[in-house]
Amino acid sequence: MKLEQAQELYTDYMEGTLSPAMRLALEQHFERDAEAREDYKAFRLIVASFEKVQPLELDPPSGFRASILERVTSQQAVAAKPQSFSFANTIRDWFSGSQIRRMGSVGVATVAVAAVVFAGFHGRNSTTNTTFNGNMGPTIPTNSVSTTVLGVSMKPGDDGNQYHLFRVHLPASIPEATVNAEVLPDPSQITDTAVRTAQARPALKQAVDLTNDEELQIPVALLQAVPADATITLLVQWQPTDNTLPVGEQVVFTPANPNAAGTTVPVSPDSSESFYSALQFISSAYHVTIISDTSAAPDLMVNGWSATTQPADAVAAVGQSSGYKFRQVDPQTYQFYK
Amino acid sequence: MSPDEAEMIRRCKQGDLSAFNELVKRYEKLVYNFAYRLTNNYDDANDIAQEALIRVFTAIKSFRGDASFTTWIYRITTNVFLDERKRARAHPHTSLDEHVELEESSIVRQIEDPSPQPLAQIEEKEVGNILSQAVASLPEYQRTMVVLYHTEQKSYEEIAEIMNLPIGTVKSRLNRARLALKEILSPQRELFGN
Repeated sequence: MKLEQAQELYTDYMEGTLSPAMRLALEQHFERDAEAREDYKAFRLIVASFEKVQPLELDPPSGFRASILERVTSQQAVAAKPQSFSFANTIRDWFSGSQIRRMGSVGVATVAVAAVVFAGFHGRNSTTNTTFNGNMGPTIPTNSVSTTVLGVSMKPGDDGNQYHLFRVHLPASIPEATVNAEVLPDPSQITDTAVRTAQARPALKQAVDLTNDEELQIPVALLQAVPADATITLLVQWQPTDNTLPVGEQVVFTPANPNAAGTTVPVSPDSSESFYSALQFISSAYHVTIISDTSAAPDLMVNGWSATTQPADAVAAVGQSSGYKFRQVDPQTYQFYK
Repeated sequence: MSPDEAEMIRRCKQGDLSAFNELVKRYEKLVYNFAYRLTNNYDDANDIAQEALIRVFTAIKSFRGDASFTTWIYRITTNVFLDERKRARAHPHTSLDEHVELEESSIVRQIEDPSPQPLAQIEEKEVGNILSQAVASLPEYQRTMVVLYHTEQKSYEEIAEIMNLPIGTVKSRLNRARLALKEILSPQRELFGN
């Protein structure tokens, strides 16, 4: 038997799966040839030495999963196609894009779900009348507020659309929750769940499980030009994993065209306006982002403001009338909370 | 497959990225460690493992449950590894441990380490490391066989499923891979005992 022929049989011989005749032939070969015996012995020792290979327990590097999920999200956005829309509806059908979760302290992104591309907006023209005075409340530490929507920024998407990125974080008191979000054609939908169910558009394909150390970014993009005073309304809801903790909601109104400020003359909302319509109006008129809890929908008794009224004054008027607390988060963002 | 995993896969098939997030969380370590065994390099393992998990998501609609999900993930990771190496061969470069493949055999260019290696000081762990390096120098197909069988503890049947090969071919290729290892390690024969 040649060495190469013998070698072909090593594994079967070692495992005892050779036929009796082949085994006998190989063993006779080993008896006759010391070099063959040594060759098989070396083979067997190498195979046995695999027991000395340490088991691996490597953790993937930082950002591993985040990178995967971001790439998958991007792929989905590219693969998705915009759908047809009806002019009768102010909101276009949406298609998927990206939505990014970021770990608060270390900047590691995990990702989830879908996004929305909308042509929906809210806006109205206005005229002027009386002035009023009001002041912002004192600066309040973020951690004392049930902050969920942190703010909105703009970002160009890989698909060529400009995205509004709604940054969402759970309130400090909620360690983990399932988060959902909808874009609303009309602020009245905030309190009218029947209308909301019929007309609101999901901003997420699926609800997202979010922990308190993560930030969720929900992108929404416009598919068509909209008036300068148009706003986008996003409602964010969270259901804590711990059922003993309260569910919550926040709404954010943000200018659809953040760079088109100053084109609308501010006017007071009617006394019959709802609280949320007033907030949407402030966002529309002043091109600021307004974030609010939705724990109540109080009646307003505001008298309006003029072209010289500052957004902070408008916010204060609505806050004082509604009983909501309010604060300025940054120069372009105000928040109402209970 | 647990009901929980079946549900997660079902949701992934519908494009649910939160379910995919859970799936990645569950399998990322397995895939990364397997990729590291195949590549013996952290950066390459990262690239292979990421690409494999992305391919899992892309292809999950085609997963019918004929094989176990773990086997399916191994198959995808193996394919990504082999594909990447094919691409790398299309743009070859010379390195100190480059090997030239001739079908299933290989010629390894080695630069000998002249430093003394006292037997008494070589511990089992080091033997394991030397073996791992030798495995990494095998041609890809042989390396994959060895890693699947010896470090991932897969049976012939599972390897056959993962690599889409007959069991007989798996056994013969594994035998050849072991023979190749024996040749590579013959200068250090004494480290492996008598």
